[in-house]
Amino acid sequence: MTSPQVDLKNRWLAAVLAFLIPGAGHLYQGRLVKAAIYSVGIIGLFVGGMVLGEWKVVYWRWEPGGHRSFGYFSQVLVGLPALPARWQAGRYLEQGRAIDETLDAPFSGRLRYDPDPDQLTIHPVDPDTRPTSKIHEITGTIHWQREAAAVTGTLEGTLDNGQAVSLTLIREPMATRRVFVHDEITPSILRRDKETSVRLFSSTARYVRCDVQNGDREGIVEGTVPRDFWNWFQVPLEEEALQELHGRLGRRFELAQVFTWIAGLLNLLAIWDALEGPAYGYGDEEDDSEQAAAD
Amino acid sequence: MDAHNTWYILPLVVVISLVYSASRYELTSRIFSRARRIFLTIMIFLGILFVVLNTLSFRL
Repeated sequence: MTSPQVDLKNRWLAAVLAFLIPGAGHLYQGRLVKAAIYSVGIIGLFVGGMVLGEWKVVYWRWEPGGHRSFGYFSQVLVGLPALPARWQAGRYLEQGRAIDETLDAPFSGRLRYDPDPDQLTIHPVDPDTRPTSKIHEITGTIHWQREAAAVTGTLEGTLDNGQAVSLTLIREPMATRRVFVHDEITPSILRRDKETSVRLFSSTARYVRCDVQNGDREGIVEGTVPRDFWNWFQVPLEEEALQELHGRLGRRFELAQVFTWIAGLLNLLAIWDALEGPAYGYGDEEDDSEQAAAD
Repeated sequence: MDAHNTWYILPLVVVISLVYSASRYELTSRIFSRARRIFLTIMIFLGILFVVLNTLSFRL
């Protein structure tokens, strides 16, 4: 029963606001202390869980007979902070595997020129003695665009020896999907000798590989470009992503999920408080009854 | 759960205690006093559970 001392104003509006942003409904009602408790506590717990889980614990995935993100039913109770996951799930399914029509992004990776053809005629064609050119680290900016049926572009950058290079893309580049949570970005072509085969995964970077030309020399570059925030934030997790996260983060990932679930459930209490007021009363009722007994 | 992760229980219990108490009462002093009591209750319960489980798993 609503305490008469609490002015709930338009309580349905307050409840909707409390759902969308924890504490907003109480702010609207002028209950500032509660607004602060709910907003700081619930949003803080939710964001804390997101940080613990590397921003990958909130997602919507529902496959008949497959993985289902039941936890999202609790996370979505936090409101706006969790709602993008529903929208992102639709975008994720719509995205095809074609490369971007245009790309203009910082690039970080490796470059290797093809061996000098003259060297191949001098030295015997023997895998053990066949000359291979050096792998260079390269950072710069990659730009491409599709013109008719062909992709044209350039990679302007600096090698690890300080040399500035301007490379021309000469064939269709390969890039992983624009909207994706989890990609393997370990160098596969330009792996150095004796380099341990560690599989690297990232949601904030995309793997790119393309053939390039610098004057009369051809080569290959392999590396990463950043992925836009809205192309990885709260996008559904793939099986490989889940396994990699559980394997690497262990219990911390589960703790992160629990934080976000509990934040959602606590917001249910906040929504109810905005709608009906405090469950037990204002809080001074026992003092009144003690005074009445004394009288 | 290793010792490092266990510390995350503290902010979790603090938030649960505060939000739950805030949903019960309106008076600020009442909210905080009740939250304090709930926090201590939960932590003592978890502490007892921790000792019991540690004892049962001793030398396993």
